[in-house]
Amino acid sequence: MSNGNILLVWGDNRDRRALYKALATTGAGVSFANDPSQLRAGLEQCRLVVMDYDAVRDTAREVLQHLSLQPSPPPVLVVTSSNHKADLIELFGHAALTNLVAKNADFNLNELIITAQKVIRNDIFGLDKYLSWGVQAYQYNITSSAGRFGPMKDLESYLHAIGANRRLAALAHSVADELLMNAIYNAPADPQGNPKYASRSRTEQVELLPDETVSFSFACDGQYLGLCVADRFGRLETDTVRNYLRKCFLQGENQIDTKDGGAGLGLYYIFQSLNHFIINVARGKRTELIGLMDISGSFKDFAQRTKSLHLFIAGGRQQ
Amino acid sequence: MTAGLKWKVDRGSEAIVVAFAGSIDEDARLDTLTGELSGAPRLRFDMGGITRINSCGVREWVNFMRAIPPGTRATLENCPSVVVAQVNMISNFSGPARVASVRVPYVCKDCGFDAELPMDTPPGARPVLPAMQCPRCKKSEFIFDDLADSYFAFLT
Repeated sequence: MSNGNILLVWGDNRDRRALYKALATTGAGVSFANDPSQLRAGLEQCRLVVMDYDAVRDTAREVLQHLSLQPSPPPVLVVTSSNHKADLIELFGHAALTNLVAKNADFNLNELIITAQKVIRNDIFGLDKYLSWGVQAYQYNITSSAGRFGPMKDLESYLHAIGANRRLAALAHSVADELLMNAIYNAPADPQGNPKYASRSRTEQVELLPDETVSFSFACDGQYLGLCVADRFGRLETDTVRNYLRKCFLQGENQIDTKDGGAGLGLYYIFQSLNHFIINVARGKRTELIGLMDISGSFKDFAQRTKSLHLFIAGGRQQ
Repeated sequence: MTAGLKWKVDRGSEAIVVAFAGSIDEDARLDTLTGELSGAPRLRFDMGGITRINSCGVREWVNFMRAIPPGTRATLENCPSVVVAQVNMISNFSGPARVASVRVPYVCKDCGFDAELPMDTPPGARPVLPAMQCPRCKKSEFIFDDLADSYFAFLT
């Protein structure tokens, strides 16, 4: 109980007991809130809110709206069985949402435990948290836009060598490209915080300064392929992620950016191409984007798996 | 470096056929193709050689499709899974063109062999996915390797 409190807003009693057991393993106290008034009472001590969007949808909406108005709300993990675009669009519209799990039959509690532990311990960075212990990670330091092609080729060769499905391998290659382009072109800023390369055409090559270099790593534990790209700026905002995803899912006339620089589709492409998309940010210091793809089976197997988005800010609270 | 995008233009009596090959990415100079296609009453884009598309390439492609003059009959043909994914994710990817045929991913659960099989997509009808035997191991069923509702979402 000394590690703070996890507040559970959940419908089904049996699930609630299972979740209680899992979340209690983190060392945090777990309490229940059935409506926004109970939530308000426990908010001060709360480190994480976990909500069942399906069974208590109205309450979940109220809670999200209430938290969106708070100056420094705790992270909010929403679990849903829905994969309807309309639900995703609605959820991405809530400023308080930080973690979303669209669960499927393969959903297990490990993802919840890892999420809770990252928040409780304030230890958010690292691909290793999501893969089996002992796997070999391949690591690269990227110093220019052209410098991404070699590591991407290595990733392609690696996936071929381990016998990954060809479509999944191609998808992983595309995700790596989007992650790296984002880190190389969008992350670097001058001392005043102004983006340095974001408005440049992606056909224009960029040479990164020594303090702008990007790290790229990948590893696989036989089930999940993990891709990890980190920059040294920590400028990616959770609102930016939600807003881009929402805009792209809406598929309106403004789906593609017409501004100079990127097309504004990268985060959407990445999210759509992964089972789990994790964004870790230490403001002003580091942004780490992790992608996990289940490559253990066919493309159809991959497409049927649970999908999630996790936004973690170092320090726990959102502001 | 990227493999780049190449195309071959075939001017037939009834239509101009453009066969694409390679990656649609930031280096795709589709604006140089637009001028070659002006005045054609019918355009057929053979997408079968497309291997990759990234987010910057999508913008180039959508701008290219927007430049097709109103009234032109255009079709996307032989679309591999990488193109089908874009058609489903990006609202204007197919522009004024109809997706006339696609390639459908199949896989053998036993030996892992995979291939994309051609299939017409006539308006108003969802294709029937044929059951077949794996052409390589000839032991196991060769099955559709995606979620039908997602893969054929562009038809609804």
